[in-house]
Amino acid sequence: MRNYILKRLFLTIPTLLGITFITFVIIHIAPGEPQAIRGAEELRAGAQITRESIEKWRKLHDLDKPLNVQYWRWLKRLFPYHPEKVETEDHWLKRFRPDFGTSFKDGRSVTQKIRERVPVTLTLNIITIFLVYMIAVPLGIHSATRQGHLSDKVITFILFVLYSLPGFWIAHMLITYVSGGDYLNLFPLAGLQSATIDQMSWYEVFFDRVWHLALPVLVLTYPALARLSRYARVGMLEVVRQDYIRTARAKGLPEKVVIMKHALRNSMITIITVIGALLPALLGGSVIVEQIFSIPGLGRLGFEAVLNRDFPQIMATATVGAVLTLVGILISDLLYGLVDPRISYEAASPWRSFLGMCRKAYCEFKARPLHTTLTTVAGAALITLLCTYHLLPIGAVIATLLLEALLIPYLFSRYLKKSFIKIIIGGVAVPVAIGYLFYMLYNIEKPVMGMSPFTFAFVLLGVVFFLFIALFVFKGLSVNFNIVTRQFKRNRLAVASLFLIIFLIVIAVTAPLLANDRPIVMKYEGHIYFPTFRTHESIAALDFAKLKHDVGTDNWALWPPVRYGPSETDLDDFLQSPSKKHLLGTDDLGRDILSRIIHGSRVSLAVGFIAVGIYVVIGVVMGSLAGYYRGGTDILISRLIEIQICFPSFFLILTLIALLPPSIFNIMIVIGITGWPGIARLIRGEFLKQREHEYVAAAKALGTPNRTIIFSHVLPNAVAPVLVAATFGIAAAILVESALSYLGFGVPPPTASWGSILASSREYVSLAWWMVWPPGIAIFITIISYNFVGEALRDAIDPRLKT
Amino acid sequence: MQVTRILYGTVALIVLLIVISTIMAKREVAQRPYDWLFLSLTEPETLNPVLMTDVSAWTVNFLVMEPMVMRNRYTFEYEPALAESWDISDDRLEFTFHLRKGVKWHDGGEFTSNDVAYTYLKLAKDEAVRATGRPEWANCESFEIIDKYTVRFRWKTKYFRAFGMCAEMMIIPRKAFGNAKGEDFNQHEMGRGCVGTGPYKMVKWETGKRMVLQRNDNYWKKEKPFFEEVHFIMVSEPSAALEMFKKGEIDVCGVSDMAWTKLTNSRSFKKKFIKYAYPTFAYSYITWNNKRAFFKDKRVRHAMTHLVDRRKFIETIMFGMAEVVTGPFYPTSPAYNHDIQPYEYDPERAKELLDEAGWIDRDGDGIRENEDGVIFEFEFLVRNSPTSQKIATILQEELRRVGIVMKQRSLEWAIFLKYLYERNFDATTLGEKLGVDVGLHGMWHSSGAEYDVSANFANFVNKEVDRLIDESRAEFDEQKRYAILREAHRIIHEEQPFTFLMSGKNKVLINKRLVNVRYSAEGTLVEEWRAVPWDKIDYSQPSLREE
Repeated sequence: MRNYILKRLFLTIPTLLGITFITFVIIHIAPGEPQAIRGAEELRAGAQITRESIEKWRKLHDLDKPLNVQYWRWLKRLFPYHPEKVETEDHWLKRFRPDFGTSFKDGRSVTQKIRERVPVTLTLNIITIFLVYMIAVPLGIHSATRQGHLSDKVITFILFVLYSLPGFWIAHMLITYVSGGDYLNLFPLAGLQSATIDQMSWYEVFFDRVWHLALPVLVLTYPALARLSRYARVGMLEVVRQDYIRTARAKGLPEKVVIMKHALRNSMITIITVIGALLPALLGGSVIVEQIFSIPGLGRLGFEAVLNRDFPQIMATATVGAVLTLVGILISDLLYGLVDPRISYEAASPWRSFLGMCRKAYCEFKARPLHTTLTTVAGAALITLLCTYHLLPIGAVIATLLLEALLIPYLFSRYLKKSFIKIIIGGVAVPVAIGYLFYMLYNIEKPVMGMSPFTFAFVLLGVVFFLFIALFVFKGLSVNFNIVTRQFKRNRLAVASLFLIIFLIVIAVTAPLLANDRPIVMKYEGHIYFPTFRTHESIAALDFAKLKHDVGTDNWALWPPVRYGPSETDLDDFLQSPSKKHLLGTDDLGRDILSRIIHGSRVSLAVGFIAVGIYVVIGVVMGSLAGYYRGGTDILISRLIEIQICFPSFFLILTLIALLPPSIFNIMIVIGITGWPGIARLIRGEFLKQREHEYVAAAKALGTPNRTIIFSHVLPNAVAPVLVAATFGIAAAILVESALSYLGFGVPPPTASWGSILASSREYVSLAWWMVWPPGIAIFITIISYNFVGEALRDAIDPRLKT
Repeated sequence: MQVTRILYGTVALIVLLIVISTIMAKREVAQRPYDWLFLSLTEPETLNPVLMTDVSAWTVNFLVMEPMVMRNRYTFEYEPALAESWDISDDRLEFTFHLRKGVKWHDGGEFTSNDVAYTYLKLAKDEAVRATGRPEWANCESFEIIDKYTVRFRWKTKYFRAFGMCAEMMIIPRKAFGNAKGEDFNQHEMGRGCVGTGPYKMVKWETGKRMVLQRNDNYWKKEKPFFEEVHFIMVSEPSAALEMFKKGEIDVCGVSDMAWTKLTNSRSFKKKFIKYAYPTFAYSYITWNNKRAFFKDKRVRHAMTHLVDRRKFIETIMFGMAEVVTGPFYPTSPAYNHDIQPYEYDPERAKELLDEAGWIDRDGDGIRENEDGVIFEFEFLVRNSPTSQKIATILQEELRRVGIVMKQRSLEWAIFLKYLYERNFDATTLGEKLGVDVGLHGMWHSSGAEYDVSANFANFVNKEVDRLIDESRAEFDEQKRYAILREAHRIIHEEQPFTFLMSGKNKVLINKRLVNVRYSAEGTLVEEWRAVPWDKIDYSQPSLREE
């Protein structure tokens, strides 16, 4: 045990270095410089600034040095030894006090600023985590033991409803209706304590705290409830079907003992995995809560630092956040062993694993020097190439993506059949293809194959995604599809939801035919035109807005049901309530809301699908390899997971989005490449559990290749929580997109997405209900449908349910 | 079952706690002393008067710090503050200030010319200090201490703003700063609340929560301010601030155009609060990069202006709370040329102008091209603000109808600035905030057209305007200077390098318990404000004030 903890602590060092280095590189190569912002403020104050003064300032802060030098200096300041600065009577430890430097923005010590805010953030998050567990776990177990009963369904439904309500929206509602001046005046609006807290007795202070924390904690807690109770339910359902539970029941033990004593501990594995991921998620998610409730926490500090390019502050926030998260992960790993005695801590000593890894890498190199060198060089060359072209800002993302893409083929090359072609495909072709896809997406301007670039990309990415999924589902999983379909069909709600999703997809694909400012088919002066599909030269100058009311005699036109384009503004008709003309009213620029919602479905559905597609694929591969092989592979992948997970996910997304040029694809990709650790950890946890089962040993004894064991035998048994996670993931991606829109980093205007419509309506909560509810309901219905489908799919795919 | 019991237990406990806390909570605003003032504030970065850049820091420091000479907030005339009197030499290069005797800093030290010297050194000389507006001080030739209560500045060249810069710098205490230099100065704890000479002194600043100021009973002026304490509550969310105002937790609250016109009209609201609007020193514009092929031609720029329906903009985006501007000043400025009529919204005229300039749809695809077949397609930089996004979206639609393709490129502020500085854009929209002393040099002088850290975003080059600007900078007679600027206004309007949009209003809501509250674009004088006890509030006073 002690060895294990020591080992883990030792392993945090490379993780921390990795995190800080990646953060450092990202913020420095991203466009936007701190002095430019300051300069702009001075310019606006009427001053003139000179190039020299900017250069001088850059020099003062080492910004003119190469990146590695800057990073080294940062590290040196972080671990200083300055005996001369400290008085002799001070504690000797103070000589090693880390120094994060001073903030560019206000010249204060960054350490000081962080110290002010850590207690606030910890209070908020620890209370939230505690509450989430106290409520969600019993709820999950309750509904697991009553699977299919009315109470299960009601709980599920309520949790899904809660989950699908965007936090910022609820927070605004609470501010207006529960603590505002016009309606109920129950709670405070800002801050975490009253002004008179100095004069209060201890119990008054306590209740004052409760009073202030109630709303922020509520807004942080309710979305997490659904997720966690789902995990608790899934975990319990798995366990309840085990033989030893049947044995316990057969023995005549009371149900209470069976569940609480025998099943509970074993069902906790998934839930405990999540605790590690919950803290960073909350840290990131609290940006919005802190903003709305005026709470001085770490999230807002970090967010503002990113906006201001306050490098020392960003670095410090990232480091502190990472340390907090690593502690969370360590705790969850320790709890792992507590609940499942089968998991041993002494899996492998790090040193020996490291040696083993080196040896294997060396063997690999010796066996196929050409392939390994080629793979590495090609990957590196590609990154360099992309970075040197005008793709520098995108380079950051691609670099991350490629690192991951390179790692997968490398790992694969060890376990898959070792053929030259596969390595070439894996190591070179895939990154090149991905890179090329990026390149195209950024450079396409003309319509491709008659489709707009957006539609084209939508289709292309969709195809890639489905190919991946098909590959895994049909080939690897070897699930009997007839049975799955039969099982699935039994759940009528899920079938209905599936149809609803298909319906939404159809709407998304045919959006231009449903809502457009020009006719689908029209006869104009003797000719027939299809203005929606292509530009006809002879009617190019036609004013369709005029034709809307009068096409003239001899002409006719077949209009879409909604005769307004998604970004067609009409300043005479702004903020109109629903009428015959505009079925769902108009927004603050006179755009038809129904049309925007129809077109917005494209973005919102695509975000969910593609982002989750990307991260499920990465996560499943990484997680199964780590969980199955353990040892060196596990250590390597776990480090990667930790590095990735330690960036509070929403915060990382926000940072990357803020640094990248705004585009819907960046949002999808960033959500995609930041989401995988959750899946990977889930799968890893499941694999750790599954590989101890007899059937794995049996398969091994039969001489089944590892690949078959992983993908055909273990994965189907381990994939259940992933499916739940993926459906929630799709829903989450849609919500993340709306949260980004709220902070101003969503889909760039004038493109419509449900999130952006909802976010732009926040000013009008009490003024224009038609701007608030339709996008909200659209999001809500979609998320609910995904959840029902995922839920049913989980039941259907579970091999032990086969009948 | 046990599980359910845990659940019920937890939920019951939480509900109980919340209910008790809600009952116990002290939210009776009326229990507060009525001579305390509560204001909302967005967190300032630093309060160090030399380093501060944000409006919040100015708001606070106006109460704590003082300059030697300051402008009256309402008449904009210079009035003595820490200096009793001042002399300006005939050549307008030398300014001598005679300091007030016996003024005490909040920490008890005496205010002398040493403090002025220290302030000057930090503002103008100390290289490691990131002082605001440093480069403008480059033309200040010398500073000398004549005696304990007299100081003299000398400038190299005539500059109309020079006197203001010397007179209005916030004086900082040398002793309290411990004569700090360079980085030590930047990081000095005075940044968390400076020792000043003003009517209020800093008591505490709890980051992200509140800031408390207390009346300075040793203030040198005879009339002391009314409020014993001023509390600034940090609120990051505007809608929360509005709700706090409605609950009476803060006494004054700035609001958006939308909230002003739509959300504050109920009878109960009007009974308790005053809505007060006053003009600002700001205006907004669309800038066309005059270097780009599309906007080189004056006719195209005129066409663009004809396509911008400014009155509709004001109606929809600003909810009617703004007026159209035609030139680079705010309408209340004496430099603003009121003889100029704005170009009207006129798409037909715009089409004619575009045809004239050679942008005609030559291949029938609905998009205009020039002779070489270059398509009229440009990028509009949008920064991350709802207003600029709205402007861009409306413009995009408008241009599409006349056959011009406009693409929006929305960027976060830091990256937006990078593009702006590199002049790497076709067009964008921005706002400009001016002071009492308006000038044109930064935005309109051709010396800034090439220079990538200047504010001449349009790359505007015009010999006549250059001449007028140079003339105006050395002209000290206000009336003459304004006449020159009005002429420049005319030429700039004629050239239309920008499409000038509108000048909005500042809107504040005031609790009726306060009396004698007045604002101007330059701010307010909190020292003049008064309050009446809770039971003596005059609810009959008019609830709408507009200036």
